[in-house]
Amino acid sequence: MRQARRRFLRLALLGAATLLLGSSRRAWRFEAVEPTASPELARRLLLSLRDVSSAQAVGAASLRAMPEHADVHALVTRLLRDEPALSRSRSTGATRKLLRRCIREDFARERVVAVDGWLLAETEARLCALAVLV
Amino acid sequence: MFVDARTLPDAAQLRADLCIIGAGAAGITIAREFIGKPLEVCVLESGGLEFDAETQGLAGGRNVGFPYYVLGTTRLRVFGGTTEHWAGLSRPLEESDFEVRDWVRESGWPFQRSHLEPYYQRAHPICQLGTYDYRVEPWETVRSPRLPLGGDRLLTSMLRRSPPTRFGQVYRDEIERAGNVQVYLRANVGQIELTPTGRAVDYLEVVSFTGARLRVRARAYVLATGGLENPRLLLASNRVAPHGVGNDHDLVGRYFMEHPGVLGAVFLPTNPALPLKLYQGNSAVPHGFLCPSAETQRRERVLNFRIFVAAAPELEVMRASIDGVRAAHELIESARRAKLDDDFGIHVRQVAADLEEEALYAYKAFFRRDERLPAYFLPMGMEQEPNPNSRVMLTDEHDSLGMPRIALDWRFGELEERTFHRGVEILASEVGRMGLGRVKLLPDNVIPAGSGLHSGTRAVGWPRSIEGQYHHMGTTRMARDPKHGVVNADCRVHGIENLFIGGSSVFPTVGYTNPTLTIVALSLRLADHLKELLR
Repeated sequence: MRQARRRFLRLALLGAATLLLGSSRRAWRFEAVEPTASPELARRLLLSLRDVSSAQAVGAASLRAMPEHADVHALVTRLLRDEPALSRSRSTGATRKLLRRCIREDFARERVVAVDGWLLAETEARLCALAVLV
Repeated sequence: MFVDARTLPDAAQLRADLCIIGAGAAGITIAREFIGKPLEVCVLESGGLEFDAETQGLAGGRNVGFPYYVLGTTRLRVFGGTTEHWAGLSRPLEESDFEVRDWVRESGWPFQRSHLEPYYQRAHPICQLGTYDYRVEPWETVRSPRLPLGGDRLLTSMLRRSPPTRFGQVYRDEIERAGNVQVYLRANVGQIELTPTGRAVDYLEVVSFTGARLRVRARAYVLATGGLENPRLLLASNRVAPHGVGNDHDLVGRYFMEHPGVLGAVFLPTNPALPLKLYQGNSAVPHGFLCPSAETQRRERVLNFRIFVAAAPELEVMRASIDGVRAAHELIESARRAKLDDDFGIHVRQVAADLEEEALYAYKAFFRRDERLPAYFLPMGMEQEPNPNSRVMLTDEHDSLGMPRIALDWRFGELEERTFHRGVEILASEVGRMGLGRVKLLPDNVIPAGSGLHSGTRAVGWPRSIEGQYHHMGTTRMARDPKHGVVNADCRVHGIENLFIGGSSVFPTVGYTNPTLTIVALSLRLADHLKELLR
């Protein structure tokens, strides 16, 4: 009987700890992503492109192909979901490197979108869409 | 020795040990194998030593399936046959082309590629192809490396290029000097006459424009007139077998296959200086191209295919050589459709170059906005799935010698369509993954999902640029079981003891590669078999 009570207490403590840790991890993730999915971050990401007018041209076509992407918050959130480190990147070079990694990963996983016949990485298309919207 | 059949009297009878119908790559190869042997060989060729329009007119027919070339221009009735307009590109079939693939119906040869290997080696000098070596390494240098795609999804392979060998010119003297080989020119076989039991060929009936009819008897016969004419003659020879010779199972003429070619996409390298020389073959060096590994074919459940990476001038040379009789305006139209120096392409590359650190130096050094983009065409040639409804049939029309003309119902479908799309997608993904550039589907090829292709119509979405390569294959296919093929593994017509077939009509599957080298290899193999048989 005493042994059963101890076992119950151990399981209860373990469960509580799991719940606490789980919720705190979710909170951390929320903290890390949600506040930074902003136009400000979008503008920072766009600094990695030297020619914004070209990005806008591609972005306009991307938005015609994917009108549901005309949402800055959703686009940035998706970019951060694929590469959370983008929110912490402080240099253009580092941001470009992270974006390049995302783009190559997109191609590797065939996350590809056809824009005016061009087969582009989803990250690339999203970034260009941001260039139109921001 | 050459004899003009028109000089022979009516009802003349000829005898030989071996009679070969057709003097193209297959017929000439087999005949050469018997030079100096103690056997009499008779070759019956519809044409002469020079092209003439009257004989060529016998080759006409109708297209009733997917749009195709004017049939009368797709094979040549002349000594040397269709090698007279062969482009010369050569490569053996791949090992996987011989295997049974559960996603490709009726796939699999009765033997493996390794069985054909010694014949490929013997075929190589006959086709004037130089060293039998298809490795990439001997042609790869620091300045002409293969594309660094990594992994095994797409591989670089090499095609070799024959001068090309015009068999009728290169081997004419040798054949003419051969004491035991008689070539009858302008001799048109009108009927393969079977014995009353229908189990053997009794004689061939030969007709000429003079009206004379000859008979040729031999111990063995080889039909080697190409993938359209072989089924035509078998189907038309119906005096004893009402459905045609070798057609007990209604297979003669079915399974017609081509190599559908699509000028479907272009490649825009992020770095304008990306070395692609390995893929820009010319008459002197082999020609690199990209193809899926056997594992990629299996995983993706697609047909075999190849993709060239061709600069515009090379493409036009290539197309002109393959399609020797194509109208010039079609070339111009293709070039117009493939034009890439539009603003949007510049923007795409700008974005890609901005994000590809490795390309930045090249970008700064070479790229200006007013500069024409160095783009590469990606013409794809693919295997066609064996399809019994893709076929050669006889019509009610007759040529000037009374032979029924053919109708070609060329069909292909979803697997070819999927192969094209997956091929381009895989290439786009691979070059993107490696940061090499971007791929664009040409406007004709931006295809709505789920579009299908049906016989006789050009379905919405299939590219206008799709076309054959003058390769006629599969119409007397090889299979161990007579219910699945017209000839057995020895190229003998099932149920007919002394009739054999040479040429690409016996291919059960066709890979992506040009067929001439395999035709010659199979002809050498058949010649060896006949030497044993007739000894």
